[in-house]
Amino acid sequence: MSQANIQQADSFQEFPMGVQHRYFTFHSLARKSTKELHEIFMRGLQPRLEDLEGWEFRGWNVSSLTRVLGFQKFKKGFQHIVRPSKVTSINEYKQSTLHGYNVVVRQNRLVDPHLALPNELHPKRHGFYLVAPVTMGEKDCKYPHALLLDYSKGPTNPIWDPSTLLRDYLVKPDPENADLFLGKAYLALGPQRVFAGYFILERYNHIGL
Amino acid sequence: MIHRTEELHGDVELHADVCVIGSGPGGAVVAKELAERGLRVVVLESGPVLNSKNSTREGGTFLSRYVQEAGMRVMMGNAFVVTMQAEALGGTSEINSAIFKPIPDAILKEWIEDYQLKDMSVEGMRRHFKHLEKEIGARPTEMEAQGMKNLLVKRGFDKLGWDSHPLVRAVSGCKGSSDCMTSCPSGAKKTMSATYIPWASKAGADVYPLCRVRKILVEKKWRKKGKARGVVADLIDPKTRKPKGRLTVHARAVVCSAGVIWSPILLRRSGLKARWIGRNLCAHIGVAAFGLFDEEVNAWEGATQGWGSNALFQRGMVMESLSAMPAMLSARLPGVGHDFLKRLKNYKHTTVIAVKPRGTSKGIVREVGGNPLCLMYTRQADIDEAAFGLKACIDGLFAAGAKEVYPGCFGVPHVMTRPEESEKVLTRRFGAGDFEFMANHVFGTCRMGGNPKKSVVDSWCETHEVDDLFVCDSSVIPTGMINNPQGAIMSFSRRAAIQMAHRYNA
Repeated sequence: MSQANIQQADSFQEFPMGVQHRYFTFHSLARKSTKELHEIFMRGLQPRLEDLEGWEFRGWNVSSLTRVLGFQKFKKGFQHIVRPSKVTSINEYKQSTLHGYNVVVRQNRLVDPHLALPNELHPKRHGFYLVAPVTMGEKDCKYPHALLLDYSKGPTNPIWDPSTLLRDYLVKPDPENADLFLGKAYLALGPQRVFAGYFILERYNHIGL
Repeated sequence: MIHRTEELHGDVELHADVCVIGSGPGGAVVAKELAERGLRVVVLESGPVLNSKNSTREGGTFLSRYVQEAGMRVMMGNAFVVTMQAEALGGTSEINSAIFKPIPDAILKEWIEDYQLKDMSVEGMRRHFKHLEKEIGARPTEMEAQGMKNLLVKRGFDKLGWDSHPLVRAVSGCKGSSDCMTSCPSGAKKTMSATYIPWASKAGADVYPLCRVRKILVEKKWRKKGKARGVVADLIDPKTRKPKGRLTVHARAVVCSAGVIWSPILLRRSGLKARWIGRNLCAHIGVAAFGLFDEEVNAWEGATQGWGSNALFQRGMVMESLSAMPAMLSARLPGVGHDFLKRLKNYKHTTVIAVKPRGTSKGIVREVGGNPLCLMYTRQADIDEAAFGLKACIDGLFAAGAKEVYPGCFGVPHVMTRPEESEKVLTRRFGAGDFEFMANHVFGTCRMGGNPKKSVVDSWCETHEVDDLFVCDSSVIPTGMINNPQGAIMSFSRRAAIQMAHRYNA
């Protein structure tokens, strides 16, 4: 097909560091390098809490080490913890805390369904966290444009659970896509924060469906 | 003009700018777009003309006359997955429910990125779809045409608080005769034979039913890309369905729209050797559950498929009401002997919810002894995902008020009487042979892509291997796509046809 005959298509957008993309997708983000993901992460936007609440998202840890360790694939759910005796208005409901959890899923291919273990009826939930916008001045405020998933404030994490060391930052890489998110995980080792890897989330199912 | 091929005998030779093989949603759109832009178009269709005058509601007779392999085709492997493709003027649009949906944006973006479709954009494809949607007159199924079977499904979805909507179909003035599968008696369904084929014919295209293409003529030169030069076809006797003569079309370009099963076979017969021809067979491998109600449902009344839910869409599944010829669907009722007869008597009290997961299973299509052989390995992940979808269907039926639900799979009670029993579908580890799968949406055997080593056609549907040879049907669609594929097939075909017109009119 000659160039003259080809309909105009969206041109490739180039980021610094040569990150080329036209569309961000779950698969395309999963294949990107750490450098490219950093660029995308830094340009991302803070997700809205309302876009997360009530949903489970399929997740993929980009680091291949997580495949060896057995948790490259996972799901994350987000739900409000509502204390009915204290909430008397819509505003109070909205200000009540958004919490989340992780779900253990079968470790299969990237393109395969995220199937909860041991089964969809009784999925194993673990690694609970509090979700909130990053607050400047707090210990974990590295990325003000992100949401913070703070595992140390997870309501039901056992004290010995190593996931309490996790601090995840979450951004929306595509402003027009409210279903896809990019996360950056850190391990809190004392006062230090050690980068652990990137992960991707995509909307998957309503909680309880 | 739509020719009466019965009047042709012996050897016939035709000349055209473009020869289109197949008159389904892909071929019909290409023919119409090219003819309207001034090109000489010949359309060859292996099946006969099907209309309300020569159709029949008798299931066996209809299947044997107008469906490939008399509706008995299965994709074999660890499971037997039934699949049906029509053989009639208008292709599978003559027997489908005319559901008209776009390619989901997220999936199109995935294809563009994963398969390097650099010349394609979401916005561009959306424009093509919107144009076609308006042109064919697709609209939500009217409430008056729903019938009890669809309204019960609506009741179930509404009660559960799930997304619940009338299905958008290429139908205008549906009378609810539930005859989509056997050619709409009222002419309300906008099949290709009611729309794009007559429009193409009016614009000057010549359409020949009962012409089965044997081979595409490819001119090959040493160390150069081949070039399509036309096709050789058999003229088919309408009574015996055997060849009675030969038709040769000399053309500047050939568009193969013979469908997922026959397009790769024709390409291979014509000497194409690309590795991915016939591979990557994908399907929406669906399951369904029956619900038995106290009220009379009369599933033969109302739109064939009128109501749906996207509650599981993000997970890669859609749920839809479903009906079909009683001869086909009643065979899926559980039980044998008196048990089965009892259920058959209650058939007028039943409705069905079906679910179609996007699927990741793959298969191949080959030609053996002149006939297609379809092999498919149904992966455990897809089986488990189908079970998840099946539970949702069972929940929907109980919520609608079903007193019994037949899950249609082995290993759980074949009759469920309490909603809690649906959980058994999630706790059992099913095998491939435990379900009665059906997959009429098939894709991928001539998949599209930017890398010639990993695909068969480029983003404009032209084969990488042979110039002026295009494939415009669902075989170019790289993976399952959740939604029903007619809208996608027509969108890709229109896009490709407009570019072809630029080239061949120049």
